[in-house]
Amino acid sequence: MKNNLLTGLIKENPIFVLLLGLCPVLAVSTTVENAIVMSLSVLFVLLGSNLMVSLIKNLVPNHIRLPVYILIIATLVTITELVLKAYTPDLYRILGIYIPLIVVNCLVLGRAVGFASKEGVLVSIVDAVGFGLGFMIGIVMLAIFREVLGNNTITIMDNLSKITGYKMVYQLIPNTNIFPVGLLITPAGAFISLGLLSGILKMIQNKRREER
Amino acid sequence: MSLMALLISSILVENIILTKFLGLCSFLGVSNQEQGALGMGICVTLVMLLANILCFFLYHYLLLPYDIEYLRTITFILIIASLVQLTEMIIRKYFPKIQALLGIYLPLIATNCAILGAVLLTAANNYTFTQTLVFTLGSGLGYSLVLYIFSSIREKLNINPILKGFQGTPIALITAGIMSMIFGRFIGG
Amino acid sequence: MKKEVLKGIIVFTIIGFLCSLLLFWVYETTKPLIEHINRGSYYEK
Repeated sequence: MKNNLLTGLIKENPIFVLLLGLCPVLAVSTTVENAIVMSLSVLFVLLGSNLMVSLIKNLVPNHIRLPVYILIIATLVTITELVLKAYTPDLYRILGIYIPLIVVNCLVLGRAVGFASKEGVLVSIVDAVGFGLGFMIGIVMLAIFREVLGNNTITIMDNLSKITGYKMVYQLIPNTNIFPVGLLITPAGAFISLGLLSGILKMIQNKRREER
Repeated sequence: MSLMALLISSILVENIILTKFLGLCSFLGVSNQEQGALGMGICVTLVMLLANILCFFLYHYLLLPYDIEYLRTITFILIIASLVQLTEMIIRKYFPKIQALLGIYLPLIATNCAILGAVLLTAANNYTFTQTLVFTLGSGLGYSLVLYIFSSIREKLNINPILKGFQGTPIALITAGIMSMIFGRFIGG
Repeated sequence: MKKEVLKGIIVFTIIGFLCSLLLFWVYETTKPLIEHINRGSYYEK
């Protein structure tokens, strides 16, 4: 079981290794707070869908499986949407269409079809946790990279402060002529950051493989 | 916003791939060959148009009046999935050449964020019917344009020597970033 | 063959119905909060 957990986290990290479900990743990684909320939503949907799909995998005839899974995932996503809309309206407006887009996130559907529809309930839950956390680590790392270097801040709790009462916005690097690199906050910067980070990671992996 | 401005902005300035990040999975996968890119672009544009028209009517005449707007995600994706199935069947029967070219990418169109994204954007921006048509056409064309340009660039990238870790997807992403910067400049000034 | 298709449609409809019920319940529960926000009083805090 520990293997199942670690697979989604590192070996097959959905963002840096498998490069799945990138649409929300690039769009939402402008601040760390957005990244955290988005990845929590994805984790919720992943857990729910893996759990449900694994529970009913024997009740659903083969040819109707895909539509039923899509139905379940879409329901979970809509619940997330409604909850966010009611409790964190500012964040809901910022994350915009990227929450409903979790439905077509290759990650969620992929785990449901590729894993939960074949394995037991407990393993499916562990798998969902692994991949959900892997996703979270990936997107938060990207967000830290983009926000710290691109905006000089780290926003951990700004829009959520109405609920929790805390505001956590820190400035890390003093403003110099080089930093902040405003480009990183733009869409172009998103592509470049992800390209750089995944390229560096790939280089490290290749080097490790050569050393063996 | 005038229709012409809407068209141009959806193709260039707010390009659906380079600015809105929609349609990336197929973008990174198909943009390796030129012909595949063109075919994919046409398919996506057609499906997008059909899907958006259907969903427009569903949204404005069924969901909104009956106060069940929250069902939009489910209904939209189900319509899109069925449309893609239908398109796949038709292509398999009447255009086997296209089927051979696009291979596994056809079913992937269903989970293509671009189509659902275009539909959701239409609903979110509350476009009229004509605006919806123009916007969808523009998004589809913008998608095809970027896919095609990218495929030609990628063919050359594959020939040139690049740092080992960056081969394949990482360098593609960085190139996409540069393209995004260029497209963003169309906003003028 | 026909029995299979029928079974598939029944399963799909049942699950669809259950999902719609669930969503309706969540919607009704969050409705007062959303109205609260739309009226602007959320921001007065």
